[in-house]
Amino acid sequence: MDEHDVTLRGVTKTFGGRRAVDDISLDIRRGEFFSLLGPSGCGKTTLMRMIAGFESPDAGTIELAGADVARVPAHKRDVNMVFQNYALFPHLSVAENVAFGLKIAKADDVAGRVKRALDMVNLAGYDAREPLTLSGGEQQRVALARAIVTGPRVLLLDEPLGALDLKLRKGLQEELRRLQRSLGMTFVFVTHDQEEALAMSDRIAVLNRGRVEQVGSPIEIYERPATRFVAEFVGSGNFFDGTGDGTTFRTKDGLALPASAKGDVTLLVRPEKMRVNGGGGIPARVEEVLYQGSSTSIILRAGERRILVEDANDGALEHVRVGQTTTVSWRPEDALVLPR
Amino acid sequence: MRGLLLPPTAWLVVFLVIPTAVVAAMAFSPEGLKALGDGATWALLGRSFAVAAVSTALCLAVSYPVAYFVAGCGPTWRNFLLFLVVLPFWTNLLVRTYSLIFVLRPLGLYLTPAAGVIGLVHNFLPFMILPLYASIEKLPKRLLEASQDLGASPWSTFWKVTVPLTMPGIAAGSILVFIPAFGIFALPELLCGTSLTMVGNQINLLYKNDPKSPGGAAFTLVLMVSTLALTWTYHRLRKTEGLV
Repeated sequence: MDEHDVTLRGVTKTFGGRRAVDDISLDIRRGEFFSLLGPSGCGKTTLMRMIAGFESPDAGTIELAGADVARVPAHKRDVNMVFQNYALFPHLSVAENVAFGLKIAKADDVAGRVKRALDMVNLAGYDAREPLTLSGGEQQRVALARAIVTGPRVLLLDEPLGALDLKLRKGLQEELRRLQRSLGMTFVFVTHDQEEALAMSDRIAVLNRGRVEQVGSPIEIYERPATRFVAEFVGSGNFFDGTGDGTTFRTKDGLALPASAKGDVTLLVRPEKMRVNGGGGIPARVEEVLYQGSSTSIILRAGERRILVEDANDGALEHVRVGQTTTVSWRPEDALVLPR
Repeated sequence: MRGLLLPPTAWLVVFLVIPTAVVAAMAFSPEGLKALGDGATWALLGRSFAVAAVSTALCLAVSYPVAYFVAGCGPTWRNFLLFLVVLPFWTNLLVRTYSLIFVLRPLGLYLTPAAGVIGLVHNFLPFMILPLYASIEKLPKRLLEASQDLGASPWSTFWKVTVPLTMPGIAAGSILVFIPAFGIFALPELLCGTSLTMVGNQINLLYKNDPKSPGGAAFTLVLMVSTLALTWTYHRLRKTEGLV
């Protein structure tokens, strides 16, 4: 059953004549890990701040659990936020930071709940520490504990891992996902990192210039991108602009590719779907071979065109040498069709 | 090089160390000690303390909203408003005080103790507003949002987040107002007449009658010691809290 925790209808917000958020409608389901993904300036943070109640939309409605919150101020919304730079209270200890919302709500057993929340984020024993003496990762966990301890209906996370280094990020991604599953809480996660969004989300909304380009599961977003923007922003790809007649696709730079696409469209082939084999396909010259451990990137040139191939290092690449002329091919069903 | 230090050292010895020593010696003379042991002395000091404390509290209550508002303005308005705050400093104290009489008289407050308090608040407002402004301006906005996000109303956010985090400014402003208010004499003399005598007035009176007054010396010493203690506290705060 699809119960919606957050419903946005035609939400629009203008800053200084520029539409930061432009007519966005979204349904975020109860208990899902939902990501707002897009480059900086795409409106994802503004959208999140409107859900939290720090900004109000110029047009459109926001519903939380089915109730319109237009007139509900931030402090009365059952939504908590993990801020980008944590926003911990420097004058309070770790335990007092976590207890802040509970005390406001006059909750029972504040000490016990604070302790359990700190346990949950692996910060047992940090109670008396001062926030500013903690590492970035630890501060992030305090912010998380402080936001989940009151059991909000929706948790908003504003690029919470943005300031951390790669190793720590990976660890926290996993932890965050596990926490979300065990709490069954709705998470709305803002990020510009497509890999992070793919790895963590149940569903993703890709935003561009204040508009939603596509909403879907990570697999849908990656395997069936709705627009060129989505295809370029999520993962990398080789794009062929041209015209198809149902059997052959003629590109603008004169290639004839076997494809069932019809009309003026763009074909997208993901680098990992391509093979460098010297058999059939597009003739190309190997320009660079970048060995990356778990995979190898091969950059080829076919005329003016640059082609990127990602190979899974399963031993088939022994023969590829820089400067060599070979061919690149793929299965016709791996060519995705994008509108142009 | 060391010779360069001689003139300022001589200046300090002749005009600060020697007079202070003379005052201290007079204060610890038998008559001075008698004045120090007198209940009336301490009653007067207590009254001055109370007037200065009330004025400081009122000053804080008036200044906080002003500083908060100024800190929330854009850079242009902010600088203009801060300019207005310091503007009265460029006017002579006597002119400012006399002009206040024109307002106090029709209100029936002229020559009452209340006039003294109003005068003190009026006079020392910039000392309170500026340090408050400096610490409010440094307050990260996202902490206020975090507080509201966790369910705190704007009112309780003010008391739980804004006030504790601007405490250094509150303390600095209060000390900067309290110290001069405690020892002031011209203002109560002009505005309160005989209705309010503060330490400063008493010292003025005693020395006018007798330049060697042991009682005046005793008052002066107490005033100096308490002022130094507060100044020291202020500098400690400046160091630990990074105040302006």
